[in-house]
Amino acid sequence: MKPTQAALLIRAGLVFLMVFFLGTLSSGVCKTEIMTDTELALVTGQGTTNLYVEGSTVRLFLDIHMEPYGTLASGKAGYWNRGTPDDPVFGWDMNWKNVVIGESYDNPLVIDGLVLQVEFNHDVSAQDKSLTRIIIGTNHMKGEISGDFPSTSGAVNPGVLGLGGTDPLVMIRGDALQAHSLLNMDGGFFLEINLDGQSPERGVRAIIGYPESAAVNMTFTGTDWWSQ
Amino acid sequence: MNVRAQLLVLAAFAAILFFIPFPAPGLEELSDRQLSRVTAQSGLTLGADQGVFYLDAIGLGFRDAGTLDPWGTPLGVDGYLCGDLGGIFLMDTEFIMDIGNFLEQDSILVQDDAGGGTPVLRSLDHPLNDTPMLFLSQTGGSIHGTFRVTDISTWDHGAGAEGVLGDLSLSGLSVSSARIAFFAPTGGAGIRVLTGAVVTAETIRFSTLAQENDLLVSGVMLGNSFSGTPLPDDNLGNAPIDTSSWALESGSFNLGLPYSYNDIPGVPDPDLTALPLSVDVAGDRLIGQATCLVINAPMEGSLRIESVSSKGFDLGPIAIDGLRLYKNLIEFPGRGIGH
Repeated sequence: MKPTQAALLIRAGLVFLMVFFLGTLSSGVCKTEIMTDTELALVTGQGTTNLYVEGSTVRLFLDIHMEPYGTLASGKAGYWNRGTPDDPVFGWDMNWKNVVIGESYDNPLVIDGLVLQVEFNHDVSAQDKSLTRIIIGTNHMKGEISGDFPSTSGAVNPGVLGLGGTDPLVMIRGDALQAHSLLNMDGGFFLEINLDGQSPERGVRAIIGYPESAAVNMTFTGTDWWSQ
Repeated sequence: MNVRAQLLVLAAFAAILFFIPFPAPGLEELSDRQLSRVTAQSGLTLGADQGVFYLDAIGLGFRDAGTLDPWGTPLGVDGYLCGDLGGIFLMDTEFIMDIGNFLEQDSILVQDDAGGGTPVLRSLDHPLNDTPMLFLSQTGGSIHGTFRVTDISTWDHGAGAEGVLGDLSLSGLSVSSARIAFFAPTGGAGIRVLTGAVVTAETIRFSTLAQENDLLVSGVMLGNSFSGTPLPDDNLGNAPIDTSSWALESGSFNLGLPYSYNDIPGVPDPDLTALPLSVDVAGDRLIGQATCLVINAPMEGSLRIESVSSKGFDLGPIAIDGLRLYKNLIEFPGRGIGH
């Protein structure tokens, strides 16, 4: 039986559709392309969070972007005896007041990446280890912090205060920041709690305007820790 | 039967009916507690009261993205941290939950402006024009409990280090005056939240195998403001600070600011009156097109810690008073900066 004209038209249509469908398959040509820095930064293997354990240190990095703006009436920490039992000298390692975090609602402080580092006196696998230091902060803080700073312990990059030179302003319960009332941040900001009661470094300290390498290696007894 | 007799029978029947005691509905005054549970014409109100919950050895883990397979087998160079969560959690309180329903549509139960006094219903006149879709409030009492994360362990594939760091415990935890309201933003997606609570903990301890209370944090209090002997302001003290007088003065620590703030420095928009916690998902950041969680977490309150000590070395108290963040934008994941 000869197919009718209509049936022929339908068959022709089906063949055309099949050819068209096959033609659309495998039409792309793949080749390797170099990723841009932005694309590379988004690769998840690089880690939005990162945990590193090395020797006696556990370091946690959290890739987080923060923009705070606000006020703090009073922030005080570390009130202990830096004198002797017979001649006690109690005071605040850190005492900041009337602090404004950020310049304004539209110009907040900008923080990129948080670091939490915990250190022990022995290797983390050792049974007789105990805590010596806790460090928390960021390698990247940009913006203004203003206020009254009656007592600060730690080290401040002179650039943060608009001063020249490279030597840090080192303080133990010092009031050297009081004359400035403004920290112009463009770098690291770390708080360290040193729990080693036998160490001359014990207490609460701030390391302002230096990267983590300086914060981790800082000692008041050594030299040039800030350039490490 | 003539008409007169019929009337007599009818009168007798009516008299009998009259003396039958029917239950008669009458208006009665509702107690405050009953009133607090009155729902509007739609929605659902649920109450919960008293309960004990146990947590037993729930595995918790933290690992690097991309360095372990989902079962924890190391694939890369970095490490993981894990532990077992256990504890007991006692709900000695009453919770009321309103879903899709709210008595005062433009108001929410918050502390007054001065941060003190009795909670009041206060108007949120601008930013959240919608009824909260869920409002959960604690009407009294507290939730208290104890939590422990035991055998916190690390593994580092590159260095081969593995060890039990220790145990972390939180005891004497108490949560009171808690409330949380979820809203939808006007004309948008995402979620807006106003929440707050008073949280106290007797101790937070970290202990290693060799050192009980390697880190001991005691007397933790999170609230709006605290009273007690004024803190010294100089460095000339001859005695430790007596923290026994510290007490909650007022209010709760708030996430999302429910008050009218027309005086935010540098904010020209006078219509900005309340700053809720917001949670959104953004995909149009300047850096790439990566989707990220965008949270704005304005907050206010104070934190007091009576003592931080380690192996006999007492660093004394920590006092963070009067923190108020009008803006606290958080993007996660971040922008790949600051490693």
